[in-house]
Amino acid sequence: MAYANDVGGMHGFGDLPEEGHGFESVWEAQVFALNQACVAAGVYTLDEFRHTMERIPPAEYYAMPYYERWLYAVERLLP
Amino acid sequence: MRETERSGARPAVGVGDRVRVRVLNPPGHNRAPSYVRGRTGVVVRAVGDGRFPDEAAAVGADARREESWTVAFAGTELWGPDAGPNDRVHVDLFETYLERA
Amino acid sequence: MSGSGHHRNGELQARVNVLLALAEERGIVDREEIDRRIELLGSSVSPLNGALMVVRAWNDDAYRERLLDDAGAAAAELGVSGGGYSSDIRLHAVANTPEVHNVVVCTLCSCYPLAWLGPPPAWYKSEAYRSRVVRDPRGVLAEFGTTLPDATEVRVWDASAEARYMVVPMAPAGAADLSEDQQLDLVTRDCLIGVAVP
Repeated sequence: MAYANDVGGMHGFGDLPEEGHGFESVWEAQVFALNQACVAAGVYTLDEFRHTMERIPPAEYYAMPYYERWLYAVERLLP
Repeated sequence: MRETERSGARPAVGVGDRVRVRVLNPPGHNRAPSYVRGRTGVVVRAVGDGRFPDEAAAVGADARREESWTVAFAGTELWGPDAGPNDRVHVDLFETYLERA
Repeated sequence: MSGSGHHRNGELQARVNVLLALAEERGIVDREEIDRRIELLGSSVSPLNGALMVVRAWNDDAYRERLLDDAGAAAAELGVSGGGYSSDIRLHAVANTPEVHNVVVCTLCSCYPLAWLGPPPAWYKSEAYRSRVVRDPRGVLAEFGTTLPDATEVRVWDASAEARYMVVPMAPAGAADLSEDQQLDLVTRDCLIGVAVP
């Protein structure tokens, strides 16, 4: 019915995380910029990117840091 | 504002219309959050058109374009009596996801 | 919950390096362009852009009208232009009033007016925020120290298509007596998301 990303209304995710803004590591900013450039260049669409992330098996999805999900998707769409 | 009838059985909607989000469970990409499927709300704004995401995730940039609409749902319609009586959730939904209620 | 992944930075950086080399080899994007995009997000694109728009709206009714009608064009008027992914992505501003308070989320991913306001805070991207704010907005707002009267309508905007939302908060009492710089300080990123009020 839904993929792991479709969390609106769910219970159990706990408290909001600590403050933190933008990118915490160089690789995060790089994977962000790389994805933006790939979409802008028409290598793939934002929807293909989103759907690739959505299909990460739920247990892995929730365990994965946010930008690692992006990396996972770009690794599958770019080559 | 009321869109002209489009191809197929898909009804056009417009601002002010009461609409229900279709209960659809496609195996592919979809941008109708689960929590609004089957729920009824009122169209409050035309968002404009964009590539239809379900298709764009499968075929890329050649996907057809489609209008999306902001639909206002009462919190109680979505969550029952636990919701605040003055809470509303506005969700942007592509036309394919909607039917007149 | 997703962790920070700091202890794996070396491994993750190595994986990104492979992709950067591949993208350059295929002529999609070179390292200079990657650095330019990162630089842009770190400098010219920030919540200050949203604050400039809000403060102008506080002081100029005609601008406020234009902002609420077409926020992208109103941003461009102040030299703020969105961009990066696709021209389909449009900015929309929603105004708080004595009767209505607005708050923004994207439950399906983490859509945010990033091209105008810079990257979102960590909590905005979290499952904790995205799952809860649509169901219990007042509870989430209270965690940010924002308590609203029961009679106030709370509108949560779940950005699930092409629009990106920013909130135009109400000017607090006495704001008209402040300098523009002082007014700008009142309009924080959290006010633009709608979890705080000036």
